[in-house]
Amino acid sequence: MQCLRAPLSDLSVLERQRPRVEWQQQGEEQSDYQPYDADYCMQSLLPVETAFRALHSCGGGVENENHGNVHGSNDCFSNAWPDIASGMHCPVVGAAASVEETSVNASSSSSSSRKRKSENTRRSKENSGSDGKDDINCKRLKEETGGGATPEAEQPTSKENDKAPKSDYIHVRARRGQATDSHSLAERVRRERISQRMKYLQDLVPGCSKITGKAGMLDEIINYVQSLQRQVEFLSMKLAAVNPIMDINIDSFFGGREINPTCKPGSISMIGMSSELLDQAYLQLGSLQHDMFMDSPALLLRPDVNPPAAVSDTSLGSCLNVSGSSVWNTNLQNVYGVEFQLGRGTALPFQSLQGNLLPNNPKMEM
Amino acid sequence: MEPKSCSGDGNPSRNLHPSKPLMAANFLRCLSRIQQTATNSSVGSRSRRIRRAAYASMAYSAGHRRAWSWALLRKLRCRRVRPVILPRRPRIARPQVVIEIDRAEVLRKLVPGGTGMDYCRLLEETADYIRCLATQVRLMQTVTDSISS
Repeated sequence: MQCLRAPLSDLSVLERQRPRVEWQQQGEEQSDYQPYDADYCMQSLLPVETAFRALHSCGGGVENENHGNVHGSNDCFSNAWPDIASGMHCPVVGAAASVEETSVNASSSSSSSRKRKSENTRRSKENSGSDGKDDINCKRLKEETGGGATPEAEQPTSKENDKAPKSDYIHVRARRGQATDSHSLAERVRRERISQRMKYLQDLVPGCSKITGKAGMLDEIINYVQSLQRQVEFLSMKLAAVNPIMDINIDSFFGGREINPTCKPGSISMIGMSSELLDQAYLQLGSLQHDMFMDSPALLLRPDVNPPAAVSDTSLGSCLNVSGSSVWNTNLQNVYGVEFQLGRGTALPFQSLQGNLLPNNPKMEM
Repeated sequence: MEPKSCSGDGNPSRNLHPSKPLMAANFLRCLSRIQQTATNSSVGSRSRRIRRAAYASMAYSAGHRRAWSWALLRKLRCRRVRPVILPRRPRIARPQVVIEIDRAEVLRKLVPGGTGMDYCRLLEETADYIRCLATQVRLMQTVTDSISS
């Protein structure tokens, strides 16, 4: 954690500002790590009053979820305050800057500590009435410090990271005429995020494109989730009712471990149907991105495979088993408990099973 | 969090969850187990089991990265043990009527694990949850259709 040094000369200030401006213009969208540069923060101030405010704010918190090193910086600043106040060269700096960077810094330590909790960003949103225009993209316009549309316009608000890579800061540019204090900036960032997610949800939920406004959207989302859950209930009831009909070995469908060597005659059609079921399920899945299922659909869809059930069983079974095998099995077992008695199948029994099945098939198909 | 375009089918497949094959396999497996072990039980209990299996397979295929799947799995795991009925707090009659519905609260109750997160994260989890749910519903629909036809 860098403590404040004595401010440097004006020329160095300008030199230092230029690359930072360029960087800012390039990499705005990403939350990059920046070496914590207390000097820069200080030097872009105009009068001493704003410097005072900035000092406190520079040490402050970040709106982000990772509130790693904020506390430290605050102390650092408050310690170094007397040094800074004495040796400030403000006016030259102020002329050069239109404050290019904006950052989120708490305006006071108490509020910063409050802000660090992610819950409280919500509450502070209600409190922040200081925003002027409320646009979504606030990352373009520079803020004029000369005119000073708002009294806090001169505050440097660069979110800077200190050396620790854990916390990430979001660099935000303030718009003209908007307040640049840390609360409102954090709020703006948060609001942007929320609007992004709302847009995504709007795409996800059918029939939401016409609705504008958060309340209506939320209503639709809630309705949709409730309807989906109701559908799951309904379909599970339907499945439970339908299930008795297929009294097969769906386990054979899965290359089952408990497969009976004596296949019931009634199970032929069932097995066929079950493989068909799997076919359909797979066909409906669109692109099968999962690696382990890459070969099984090919096997399933091949018409010339003689005992389609057997091949699909074993292929699917082996596929299923190959994947993550024991870990997956035990996890599932934990989850499903009684209902889910997994066989400890490895690839080995499947091979033997395949051997068993193939001679059986002529019998089955008769 | 971007919508994944799984195949060139257009809109419906855009919302497919990437782990749908996994989900399918899981669910079908559970179905078979339920079918085997509970042939004599009533429709109601079997449907409850199927529903639980559906949610479990959905949560499992979603992975542990998601808060909702994690919360769902934990809830299901705890439900294996005898469900404890918490004593209900006596309702205190409030003097004023709350007119405004807090939609965020409602959403929190709907999405598993929603109570412990901020609004922004809640929306994210909701999106993923919706996607998984839709996939699961479609899967179950396919299964029922093919079985009953």
